[in-house]
Amino acid sequence: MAKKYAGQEFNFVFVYTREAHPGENFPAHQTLEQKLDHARSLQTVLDVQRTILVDDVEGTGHELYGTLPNMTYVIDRGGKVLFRSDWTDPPTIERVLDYILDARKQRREGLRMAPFYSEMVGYRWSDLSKHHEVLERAGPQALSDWEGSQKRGAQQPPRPGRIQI
Amino acid sequence: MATPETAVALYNYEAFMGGESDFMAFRSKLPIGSPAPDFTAVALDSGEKVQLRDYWKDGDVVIEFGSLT
Repeated sequence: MAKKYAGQEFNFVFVYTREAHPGENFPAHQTLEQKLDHARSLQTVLDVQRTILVDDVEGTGHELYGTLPNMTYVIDRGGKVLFRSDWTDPPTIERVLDYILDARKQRREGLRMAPFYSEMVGYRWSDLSKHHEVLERAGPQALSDWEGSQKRGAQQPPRPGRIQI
Repeated sequence: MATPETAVALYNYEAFMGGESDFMAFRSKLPIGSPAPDFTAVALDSGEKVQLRDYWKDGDVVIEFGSLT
């Protein structure tokens, strides 16, 4: 995606945070050196081509933006939040970037474009086999913790934050 | 007040527990149009300390937060 939008006003940055599913192979960070080491593994294993920034070991930057494991924000040139999503869904991000580019193009062409505020419920493909690959990479503890969280979740009432379309 | 060691341990939990509270808190965190917070990070390739705001100085920026697991 970064290549597709290269030269079209967007920079792409990946901020490396705490490990979402710590396990024997990638345990919880205790030092910045360990966090940098894990970030290098991420760069290699996931072949991340974007600029990778590593947050401090206390998670200062992550806390400022919401501590979720895989958020995406689009920030404009003036430093204002244009879009935010509590989960990263590449097709949704592409739609958002195309929308922004299209609105600017129409404005340049002389259309009177009035800004408005909008929110939406997003849906993404949840690939469980890929998720299991991630947990296996982390180690047996990560798999066991995930299974425990699923069992606890099954005993809870429906999540208030899950909005069906 | 948490000591630096405790702050590190609290943030970097050792076992995933799941839950919805962080997702609900996200919704009121940084509404559309609000100023994006700046922070210092280490650029992995150079090892240099950088400011996040430098990445929105000359254009928009798409920022993904994540980890290996």
